[in-house]
Amino acid sequence: MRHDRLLAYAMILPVVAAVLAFVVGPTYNVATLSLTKVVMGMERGFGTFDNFRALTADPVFWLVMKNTAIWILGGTVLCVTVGLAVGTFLALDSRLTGWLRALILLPWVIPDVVTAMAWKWMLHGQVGIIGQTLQDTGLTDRPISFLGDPQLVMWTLVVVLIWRKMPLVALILCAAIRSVPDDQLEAARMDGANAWERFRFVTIPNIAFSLTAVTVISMIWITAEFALPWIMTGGGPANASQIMATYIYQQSFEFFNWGVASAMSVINLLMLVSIVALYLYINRRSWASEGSQ
Amino acid sequence: MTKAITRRSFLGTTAVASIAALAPLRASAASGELSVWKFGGTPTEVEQWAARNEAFAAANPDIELNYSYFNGQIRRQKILAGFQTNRLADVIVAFGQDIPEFVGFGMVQPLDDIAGDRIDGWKERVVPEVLESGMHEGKLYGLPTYVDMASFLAVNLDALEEAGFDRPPATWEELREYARAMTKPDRPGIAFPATTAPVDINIFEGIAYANGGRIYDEETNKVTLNDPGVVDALQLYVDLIADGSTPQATSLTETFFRDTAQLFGQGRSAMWIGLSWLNTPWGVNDDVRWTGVPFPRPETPTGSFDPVAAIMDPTAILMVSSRAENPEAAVEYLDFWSQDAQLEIWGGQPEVARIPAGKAAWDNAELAETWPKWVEAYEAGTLFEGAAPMPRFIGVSAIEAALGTAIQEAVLGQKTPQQALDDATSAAQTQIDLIRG
Amino acid sequence: MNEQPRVLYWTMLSLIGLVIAVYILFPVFWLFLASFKTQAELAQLPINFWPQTPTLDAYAALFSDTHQKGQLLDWPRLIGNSFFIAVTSTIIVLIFGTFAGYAFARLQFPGRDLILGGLLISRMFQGAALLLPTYRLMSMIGLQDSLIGLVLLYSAFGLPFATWIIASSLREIPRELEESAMMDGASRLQSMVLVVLPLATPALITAAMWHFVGAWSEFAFASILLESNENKTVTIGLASFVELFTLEFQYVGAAATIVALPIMLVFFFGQRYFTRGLLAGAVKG
Repeated sequence: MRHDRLLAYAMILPVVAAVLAFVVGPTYNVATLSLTKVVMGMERGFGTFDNFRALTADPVFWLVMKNTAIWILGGTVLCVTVGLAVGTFLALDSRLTGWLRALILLPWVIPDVVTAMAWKWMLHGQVGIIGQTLQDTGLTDRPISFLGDPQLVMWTLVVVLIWRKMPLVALILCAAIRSVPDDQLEAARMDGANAWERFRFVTIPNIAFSLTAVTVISMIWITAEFALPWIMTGGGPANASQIMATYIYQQSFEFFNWGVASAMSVINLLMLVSIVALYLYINRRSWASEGSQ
Repeated sequence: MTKAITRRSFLGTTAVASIAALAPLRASAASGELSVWKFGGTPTEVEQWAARNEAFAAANPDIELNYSYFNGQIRRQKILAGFQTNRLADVIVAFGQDIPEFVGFGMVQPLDDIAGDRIDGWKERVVPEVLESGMHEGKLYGLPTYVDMASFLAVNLDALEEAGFDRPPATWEELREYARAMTKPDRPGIAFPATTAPVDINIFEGIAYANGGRIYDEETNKVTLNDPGVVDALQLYVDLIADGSTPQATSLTETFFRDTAQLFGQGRSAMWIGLSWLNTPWGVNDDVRWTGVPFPRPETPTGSFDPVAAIMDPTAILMVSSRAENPEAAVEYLDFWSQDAQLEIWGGQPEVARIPAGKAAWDNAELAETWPKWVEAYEAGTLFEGAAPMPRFIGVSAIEAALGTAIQEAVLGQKTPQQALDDATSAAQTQIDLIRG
Repeated sequence: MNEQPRVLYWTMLSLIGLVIAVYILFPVFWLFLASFKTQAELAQLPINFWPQTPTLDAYAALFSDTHQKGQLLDWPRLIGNSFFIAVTSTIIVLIFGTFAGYAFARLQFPGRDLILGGLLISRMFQGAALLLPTYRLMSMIGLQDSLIGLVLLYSAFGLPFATWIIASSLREIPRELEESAMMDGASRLQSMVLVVLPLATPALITAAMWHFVGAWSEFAFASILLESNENKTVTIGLASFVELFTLEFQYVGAAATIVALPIMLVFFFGQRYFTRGLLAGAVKG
C-alpha cells in the first residue's frame, strides 16, 4: 500500500505542479497586488485595503454587480432550460435530429473573437441583417438597437451567450435523456401517463443529477466568458452591459489601475470559489471516491 | 515605389532630395538587432509599412529588423506587459495620446538625448506643427508620420442642394437648421457615433474643445468634464436628437464611427460627424456626391478655456523605448521613417486618409485632388492654426471612459448633459486621484 | 385515425428542428456567405442576402503572397502553429491527465479528495486579471513568444478538467477486470495501460476533443504572449481583420471557414464518443 501511495503521488505530480506553476502562482500574484497601493504604475507599499475601499465607493461597481448577476444567473437558467428543451428534442430518433446533433456543435468550435464580431454585425439595427429582416418583414417599423438600448443589451448578450454555450448542455442532456431506462417509460405509459407526465415524473427524476451538474458547469463557463461582451459592447451603452470580466479588463489595461483591478479579481474569485464549492458539494458522490472512507 | 521616387525628385526641394540621398550612406553605421512594434492602421498603411520595412532592411544590411504588427485594440495591454517584464520593443509605434503615460512610467526616452543632429533633418522634413505633437514637457519623444484631426463633418451635396442650401453649415445653429431641413422620413439629416470606442469619444472632444471646453486641467489636477464648454457641446448632440434630425438615440449608442460612415456612404444619412479621415475605404456609393468640411463652430464659445480650431493626434508616432539596447539602430529606423520616400505614403501614395507629416507629401497631386481644401489651407499656413493636441496626460483613458459614459447617458436621455457630466466629473476625479496617487 | 396525429407530429418535429437549426446555424452560415462577397457588396445597404457576384477572392487572398505581406500574416503558417499547439498540448494533457486520473480513481492516498477538489477549483482561475502575472511568469522563464510556452500554459489550463473527466470515467470500470490481470502477473502500470485504458476510450476522446477545441480557439493569452509573426496563431489572424478602419468580413468569413472545417470534421466523426464520454465522465452521479 505504501508503494501505491508513492505511485499515486508520482502520477499526480505533473498535473499538480503545472497547475501550481501556471495557475496558482499568477493568482497569488493578483491577490498580493490587490493589497498593494499602485500609483502611476509603481507599487507603493503593501498592506492596504484602499483598493477595496475605492471599489465599494465606485457607483459603477454596484451596477457591475447587478449586470453580472443577470449575466451569470440569467445566462445559466436560460442556458439550462433552452438546453433541456433542445436536448429533449434531439433525443428523439430521426434522421433530422441525427444531423442536428452533429451540426449543433458548430457554435462551440468557432473562436469567440469571430462569434462576437459576427453577432455584433448581424444585430446592428441599421446595418445588420437581423435589423433589416425585422423591418422588411414588417415586424417592426423602426430599427431595433439590440446592443444600443440599455433595456435590451444585457439580455441580447445573454442570447448570444446561450447560442455559444447551450449546444454542449443540450448534447449532455440529450445523452442523459437517451439513457433513461425504456421499461420505466413503458410502465408509466401503461399507467396512463401522458407525454408531459412521463417527462415530468420519469425523465426528469432520472436526469436530475445531470441537470444539477450542467447547471453548475454552465455557471462556471459563463463566469469565465470575457471576449463576447467586451468585443460586442465594451460595457456600453452607459455601462448597461458592464460586467466583472469587462470592468476588470478596463481598469487594468485601459486605466492602468492594477490595484483596483486586482481587488475586483479577488472578489470575483471568491464568488467563483463559492460556486465551485457548491458544485463539489452537490457533486461529491461523483468526484470523491466511492463510499468515501 | 519607383513612381514615388521620380516624383519626389521633381517636386522636392534640392535640400530635401540631397538628405534623402545621403541617408543610406549614414545608415551603415548602426548594426545589431532592432525590434519594432506597430499597432493597427488602415489596410493600406499596414501593407505599406511592411513593404517599406524591406527597403529599410536592404539599406541597412547590418541591422537585423524584427518587426511585429499587432491588432490596434491590444496596444495598451501589450506595451504595458512588455514594460513590466523588460521586454519592450526598441521602437514602439503608438499614439500621441499615450506619450505622457509612457513618459511618466519611464517606458520611453527623449529623442533629444539619442538622436543628436538627426533631429535637424527631421525638423527640415516634417511639418513643424506636426513634429510638435511628439513633444512633451519640452522634449521630443516621438517622430510622427501623420496626424488625425477632430472634428469634421461630411455633407451629402445632393441632399444639401435639395434642401436649398448652397454651402455647408458653419455654425452650431446652422447645423441644427440644416440637419432638420435635410431630414427625410427614410433618411436622417445627420448621424454621429456614440459608442464607448475611444475614437467616438475623440470626435466629441473635437467639438467640445472648439467650444472652449477641456476634460482635465493639468495645473489644478481637476477633471473639468462639467465645464460649460463640454456641457454645451453635449447639449448640441442632445438637441440634434430632440430635433428629430438623427437616427433614434438607441441606434446612435450602438453605432460605431465606421457604421456611421457606412450609413452616409450608402445615402442613409445626409451628414456625419467624424475625424479628418472622412475619406477612407468605407464603400461610398458612386452616386453619392459629398464633401468634407471642418465641424461648424459655436456662435459664442461658452467654455472656460481658449476655444481651439481643432484637436489633433499623431496615431502612428515612433517612440524609442527607455530599455532599447541599441539606440543607434532605433534612431536609424526613425530617421528612415523621417525620409520623404516614407512620409509620402500619406500624401496620396497610396494613402489619402490621414493628414501627412512630411512636407514633401503635401506636394503630391493625389492629395490635392482628394482634399483640395486641406492643401489650400496647408499652403496658406492655416491648416494647423489654433489646433491643440488631443487630451494627453496620465489617466487620460479613465477620464475619456467617464466622458463616454456621460455621452451615452445624455444621448439616451437618462440624464441631462449637465447631470451626466457632473456625475462623470466626480467619478473620473476619484479614478484619476487613485491612479496619480 | 392514426394518420393525422402522425403527420402533425412530423410537422411539429420539423418545425422545431428548423427553428433550432436557424438559431444555431444562421450566424455561421452568414459568415460563410460573407466569404464569397466583395468589400463593396458588404458595405451595400440594403443588404444583399446572396452574394451578387460570388468570388473566391477572399480565400485566394488568404493564401496569396501579397496579402500575407499586407496583413503580415502567413495563413498556412498560422494554421500550422495552431495545429502544433493544439495537438502537442492535447497529447500532454492526455498522458498526464490519464496518469493523474488513474491515481484519483483507483489509488488511496491522503489528501486525495482535497487535491482533486483544489484542481477543479483552479479551473476557474483564468481571466483577464491573470494576463499580466502570466505574462510576467512566462517571460521570467523565457517562454513568452514561444509556441512551447503556449503549449505548457494551455496544458496547465486543460489538465484539471481532463483529469477529472478521465478519473470519473475510470471509476465506472469494474475493478475486477484489473485485479484479475494483476493476478495473472501484470504490474499495475501494465494492467492500467492494457486493460483499463481501452475501456476508457470514450472519456479519452472526450478529454482530447475538449482540450483541442479550447487550445485551437484561445485568443487572450496567445495575443499577449506571442510577438513574432512566425509564431502567431489563427485566432490572432482572425482578430487582425477586426481593425478600427475596416471590418473585412469576407476575410473573417473565409478564415473562419478554413479554421472551423477541420474541427467540424473531427467532431462529425467523434461526436458519438464525445457525448458518451461527457455523460460518463462529467455528468453521471
